Amino acid sequence: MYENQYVKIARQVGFWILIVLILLFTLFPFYWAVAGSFKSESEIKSPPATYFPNRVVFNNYWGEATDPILNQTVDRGVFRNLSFMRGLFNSALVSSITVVISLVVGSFAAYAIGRLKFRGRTLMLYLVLAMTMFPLISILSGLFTITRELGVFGSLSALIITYPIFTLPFTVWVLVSFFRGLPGELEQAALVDGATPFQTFYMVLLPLTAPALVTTGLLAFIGAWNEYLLAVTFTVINEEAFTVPVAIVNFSGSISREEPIAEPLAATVIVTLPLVFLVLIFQRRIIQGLTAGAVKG
Amino acid sequence: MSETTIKSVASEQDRLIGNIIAALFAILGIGIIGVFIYSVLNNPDISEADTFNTTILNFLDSYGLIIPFLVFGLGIGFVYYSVKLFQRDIITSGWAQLTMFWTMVFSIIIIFVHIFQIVTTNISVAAEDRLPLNFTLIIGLVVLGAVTGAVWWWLTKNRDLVYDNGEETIASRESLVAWNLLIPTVVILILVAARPLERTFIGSLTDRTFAGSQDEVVQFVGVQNYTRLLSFRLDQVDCVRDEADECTTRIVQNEVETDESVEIDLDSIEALEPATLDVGLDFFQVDTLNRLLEENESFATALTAAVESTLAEESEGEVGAVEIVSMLEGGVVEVTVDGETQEVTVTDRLSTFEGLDLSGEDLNYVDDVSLGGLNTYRIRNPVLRNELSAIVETEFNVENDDTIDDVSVAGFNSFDTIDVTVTRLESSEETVYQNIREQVGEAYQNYSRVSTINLFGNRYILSARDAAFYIAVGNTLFFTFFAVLAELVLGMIIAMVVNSKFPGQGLMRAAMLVPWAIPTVVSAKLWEYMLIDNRTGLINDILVRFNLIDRPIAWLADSSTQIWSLIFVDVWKTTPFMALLLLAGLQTIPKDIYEAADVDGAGPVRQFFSMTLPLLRPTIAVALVFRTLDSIRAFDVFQVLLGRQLQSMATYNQFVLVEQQQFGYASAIGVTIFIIILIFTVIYVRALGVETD
Repeated sequence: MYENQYVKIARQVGFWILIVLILLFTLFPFYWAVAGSFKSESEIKSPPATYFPNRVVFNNYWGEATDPILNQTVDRGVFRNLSFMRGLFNSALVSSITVVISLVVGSFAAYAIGRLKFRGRTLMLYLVLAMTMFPLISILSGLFTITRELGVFGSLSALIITYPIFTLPFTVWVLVSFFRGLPGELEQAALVDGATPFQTFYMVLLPLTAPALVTTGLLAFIGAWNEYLLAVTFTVINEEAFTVPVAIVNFSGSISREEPIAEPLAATVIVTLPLVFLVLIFQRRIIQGLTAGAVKG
Repeated sequence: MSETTIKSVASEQDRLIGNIIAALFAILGIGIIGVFIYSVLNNPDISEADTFNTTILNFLDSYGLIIPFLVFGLGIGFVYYSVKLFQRDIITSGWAQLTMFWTMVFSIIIIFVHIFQIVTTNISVAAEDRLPLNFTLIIGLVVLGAVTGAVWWWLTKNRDLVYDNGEETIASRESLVAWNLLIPTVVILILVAARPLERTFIGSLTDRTFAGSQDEVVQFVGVQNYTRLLSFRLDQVDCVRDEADECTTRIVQNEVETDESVEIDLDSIEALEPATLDVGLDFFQVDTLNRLLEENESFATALTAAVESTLAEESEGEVGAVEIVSMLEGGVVEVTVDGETQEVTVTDRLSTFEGLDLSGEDLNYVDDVSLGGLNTYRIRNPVLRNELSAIVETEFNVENDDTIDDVSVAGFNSFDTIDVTVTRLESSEETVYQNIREQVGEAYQNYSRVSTINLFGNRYILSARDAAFYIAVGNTLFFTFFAVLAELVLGMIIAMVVNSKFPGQGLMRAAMLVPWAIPTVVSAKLWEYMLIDNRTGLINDILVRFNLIDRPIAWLADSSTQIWSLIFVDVWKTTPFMALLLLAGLQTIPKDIYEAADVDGAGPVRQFFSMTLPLLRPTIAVALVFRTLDSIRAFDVFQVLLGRQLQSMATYNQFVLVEQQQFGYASAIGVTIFIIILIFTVIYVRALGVETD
């Protein structure tokens, strides 16, 4: 009796230790970035590492610093870093446009595949499924030439044109499974009322899919926001078209001949924070969307 | 028929317009094909090509197969429409309407894209570099858009009046709506997937580069790119033979370093005798000196005298009443002179402090807490250094032991032991092999070594014409195997833990999504800082703190840890995601079967292997497929953390394309990666029995 009690307690303790370990494993690096972004450059570069900033400074985000070589005061901090801010803007622009295109075009296609009967439906479905697993790297050189021929190489348009290749099939796939889950009576009722299939789509079914649209839109946004291969390949010649991932990799500090660490950490916090918030708010939906895309497939 | 329906009858005028539209389709159909053929014939690359092969190649290179297929398909389709429209076929009129609508939409989109492109490009460009608007294009598209728009509008109004032949069924209407909705997707997929894929395939058969000028002559090189990429050879290397036809060997001596310690008796070391302890105050820790000051009167007196003489030297005159407050670091003494606090550096050596009895107890003060002092003293005092070396050499019997190459004193570990590093020579016999390049001769010319394999006493060398590619494939597969394995095991554990009910489960799941949401590039950058090769890096600091390693490791620079670091970063990023997928699978398993198993007395291990695992198989299979295919095309982690030091297939491909500008060759690599991934998918689907919907 007593022994059972002890075993139970030991089990509980072990369980919570595991939970804490998992949380440390997943969250500590992010904490590390946040803590590092409030450390001074000299603190972050002097061993041993500190686990909490000795002195909390903000000049990795917004501030000033003295350049020992130019011997003058310079702007410091990611919010004053022009190329980083431009990267943020570019990423936001490209990702939003990509999301809009994917959602509009994708919901059309998903409705057609999920709810309508037509010849070539199975073929389209398999095509979309194949596309979701398609290795982007394999057609990189093809995309490279096409962006050149279209005259968009090195510009944001190159990214806007090419990003649907990975967001669109995914959007269609997830939305198809969602459309299929809706009850069939809705359309019959609409048809009886004399609505055309297209009217049924945008007046009856589309409002019902709003949650799924939010989820897939979010996933597409994260996908486009995080994309690196196409961004680094197509914007290599034009620094002004760098998206955030490319800007972070090419991050240069405000002080000459210094390779900063604290500032890029602040940049990673800025880039990640919106995503972390979105994820925390929509976590249930995201997990549903991801598992719909993966587990059911 | 028209009498029986209630439809109003179309006017003569409407019928005339209907026929004009039918004719328009015929003109459009023939027009598209005509314009296409005209442009092909006027393309200098094609019309001026010398041979038939070049003609075909240049045609494929400029137009591919999809565009001609579409052009002829549409052209013939339009002519067919035209015939059907003259017959007033109602179903065809629906398709005609669809065609007109989307032609109008795409005309408008292209105009906007063109203007957007020009505007965004010109914003930050100097005036003379600005791109002009292409007015021919815009006017052409405006006309096209207007005409198709008008026809579409007219068809929307009058379609079922004019075209009354046949009947629209619900099925045909649905089909029409479906294709109306699918056209944008199809167009986008053709533009960004099918065309690039086709270009990659065709390009992989050419020697096209981007390095040269615009009008480089592209040659059709057949499968030459693939031959260069894939050629490999496995040679058995012969050993060098002596007269007796035996393999010659040579003795190779490897230096092996070990850390050991030697016990010593401090009293037996002459250099530490009081009379010869010739060190400055700065060698000793402040604590020791303060204790000495407190407990040994003669030292205090001598120190006061030393301070007074130093001050007298500085001020060249009278010095007030000196009182010693305490010792500071580096031989600095804090004193009060006539009540004023002052710091004085005493450069005198310990042996000069007369009256200080350094024998016996006083030396023990020094010993007690001044390991650092002793170590500094060892470094600076050649007598002590030699003496310690002599002790160590006697201890290890260096003169008579051939295996010992070198013994060096690392320093005092405690007062009776010192650390030593012993370098021993271990000799081994090694077969002497021929140089592969000489052995194979001419045929080896373009090859270079990928790896050396020693098997059953024979040595084999794997060589390839593009060794870098083979190495990249090897790296990628190694990375994929271990990363996915670790993710699966860890993910399974995490999923099982999180699957049990506990307060805060929702928060836990949200927290697990964080690594997944962080951009791979950012997480790679973050880990780059955490893996820094000194103790400012988190990983090295933790490992040193818990004494798991002696000194920080250069994780990303050391070739033996590089790929493991990458695997670790990838595991961190994707394990939570894997866990979430598995968790979703776990939650579909009904709870009551576990209760039944409990009743039957099956233990938790048994339950896991004979119930959970089989029931979870479909989920595991899908998760494995996704993760494996993702890892095989890994680009971001490799590119950010190791760049060109260690390449994956994807980073190698991108490097060849962007840095070396070899379009043809890069395309061949792309196609090869595609085939490798395809093979993996097929194997997986077969082996795991993934059921496709």
